[in-house]
Amino acid sequence: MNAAIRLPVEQAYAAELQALARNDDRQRPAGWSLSPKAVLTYLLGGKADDGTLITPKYVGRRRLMETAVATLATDRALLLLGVPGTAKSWVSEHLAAAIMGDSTLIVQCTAGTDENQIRYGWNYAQLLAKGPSQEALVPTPLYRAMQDGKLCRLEELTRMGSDVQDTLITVLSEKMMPIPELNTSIYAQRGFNIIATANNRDKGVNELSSALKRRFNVVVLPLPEDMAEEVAIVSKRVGEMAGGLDLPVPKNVGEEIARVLTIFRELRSGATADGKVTLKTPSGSLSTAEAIATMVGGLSQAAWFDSGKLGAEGLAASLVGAIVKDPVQDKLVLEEYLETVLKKRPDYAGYYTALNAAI
Amino acid sequence: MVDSDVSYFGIRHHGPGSAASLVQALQELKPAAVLIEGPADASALLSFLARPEMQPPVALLCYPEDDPAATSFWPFAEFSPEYQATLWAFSNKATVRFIDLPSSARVAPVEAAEKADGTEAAVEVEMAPHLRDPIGTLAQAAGYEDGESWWADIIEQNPQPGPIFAAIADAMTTLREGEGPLAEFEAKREAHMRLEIAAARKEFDGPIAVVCGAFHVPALQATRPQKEDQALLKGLARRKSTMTWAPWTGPRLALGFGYGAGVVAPGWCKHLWQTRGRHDAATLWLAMIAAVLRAKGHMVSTASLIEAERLARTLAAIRERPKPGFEELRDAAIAALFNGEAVLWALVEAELLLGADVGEIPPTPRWRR
Repeated sequence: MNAAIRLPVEQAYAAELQALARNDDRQRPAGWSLSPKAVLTYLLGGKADDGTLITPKYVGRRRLMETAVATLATDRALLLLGVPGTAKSWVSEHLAAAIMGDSTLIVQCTAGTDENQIRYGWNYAQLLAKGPSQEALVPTPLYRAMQDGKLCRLEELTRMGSDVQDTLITVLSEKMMPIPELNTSIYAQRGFNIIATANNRDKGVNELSSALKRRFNVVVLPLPEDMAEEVAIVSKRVGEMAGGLDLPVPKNVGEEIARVLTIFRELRSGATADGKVTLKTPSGSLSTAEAIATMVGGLSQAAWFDSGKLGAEGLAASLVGAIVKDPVQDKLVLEEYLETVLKKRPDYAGYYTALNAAI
Repeated sequence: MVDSDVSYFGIRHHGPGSAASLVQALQELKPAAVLIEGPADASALLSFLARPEMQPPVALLCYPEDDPAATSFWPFAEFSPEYQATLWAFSNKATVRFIDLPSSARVAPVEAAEKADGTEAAVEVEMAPHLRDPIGTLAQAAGYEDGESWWADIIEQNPQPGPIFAAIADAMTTLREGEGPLAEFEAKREAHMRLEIAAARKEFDGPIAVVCGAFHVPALQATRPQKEDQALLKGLARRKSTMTWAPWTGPRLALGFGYGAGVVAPGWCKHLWQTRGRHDAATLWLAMIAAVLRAKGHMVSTASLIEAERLARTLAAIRERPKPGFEELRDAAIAALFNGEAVLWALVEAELLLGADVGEIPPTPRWRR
């Protein structure tokens, strides 16, 4: 068993990436390890030229991935938007791994991020001792990406303060970073690009200025359209994560995933699946990622406490955690849903009792 | 009279690609007669199309004198192959006529059918989508959403129009192989057209061009005993029908307005027709999108348009298409102009794709048959 909880995807999926690279003689943009077609096969699934099966990483509209890859192929920065839990960081990681073989040049943007984490920092001891010099400069992932012609990932771009966001404007349009203290600039090497992700429905975000937004091509990743798609995504990820955590996967996991997803989708859309009853929506987004986390939590509960049996009781606590984010409003929403909808469904009887007990 | 050679040109109704290829083919063939799929009793009205005051989109309307509500209509847009074929015929002194069932026979069946079993549906028989728009179906099979983009790409790679129509005929023959018995109305239409073609062969000295929906080509090419076709058309009820030209609109050309062979996006088709042979079709389309957005008060910079075009070209390269088509321009516009929001595309869609064109007709008295 590996010591690390989760390997970077270029290592976890090394076999697939190598299989794709082996017979890939199509044209590649500067600095890319795979051709755009091969990157798309890696993302969407399919077969490599030598017959190796490539698992799909993104399940959804093909043309969104095509737009993302086309954007990066033309040295234009990519911004992935979407509600929380729609695979933005996941896609960003896999894009970087497939294109560059390196998904580790990340800047995690938070409210406390400042210029030193975006442009460059200083080794203050050296700075004070010998004054500004190249040795005193501490490069950031973005700096190193520009120097080496690699992909830099900026996660949660809108969490940064607007003033720090705007330091990116020159980098994006002129592909150069001025270093006024040393009276030089660095010019990005071919192959440099940025993949940014941002939530477009969240509290505490700083909207991107129009000048900055204009310098990105934007791809909005939607929530899965139909039930079958979402079930496929959740089943696949739950299987992978359970394997990674060495959790046994009981036989009834498919049914429970379907039930949990039905609850999620109905609450998320504000109506029952048949459209007959309108429901209030909770404040959280009830995304696919949360469904995956709920299921893994349920599996964990089953493995450690319920002697391997997955049932409504095990899932109830995780479900309540996902649905009730605002303790007052969301609790009412869930209670109403239980009374008006779940009570009338005989195969959800376990969920009705367990959720009532858990609230 | 020597029996003349007949060339069949299976077109997509209102397809600019079909229209452009057809005109080129007619230029090469120089037929003595052009036979078009349309109501035979309205042939005399074709000459109006050549008049300068007649501005498409226009439609031929036929209705029984005693029941104006039961109107059948045949639209003609600037980019309709039938329209372009008519214009070519008039400027090249070729005879042009319609060869489909006359409109008077078309409106009658409603009564007869109701008397017969009361369950027969409307005059326009509902056909399966792949039969109604066979070229669109071929495009979808090739992985395109937009039939016109597929046709444009196929033509780009094949500059000789001759083989194109032969290939279309082949494809349609395969599509119709093993089909069951045809609906009665469709069978009558094809029988009528076969007889008209046979008559024209005897009448004209020189090549003949048949312009019809691609679906019909195998049936019109087939040799059937004339007696069979004539028997099918026996007892065709006729009602006195009035025919006229009327101005038509772009949106009405679109699907969902009750016209079976309607194109999905008349605005896009018009754009393709007007920019045929030019290299900046993609740029112009993006500029049109920008104009619509700016008129609605959204800021769209020229820099964004440049980026949208670059993205469209790259998308086309990734999808292995020779140039950006409708889907590439739409996806690029969403990513570069609309900040990824596909919902904003819906704002632009109606105005751009349907258009607000209204045609004009010259002042003229109605015809009576």
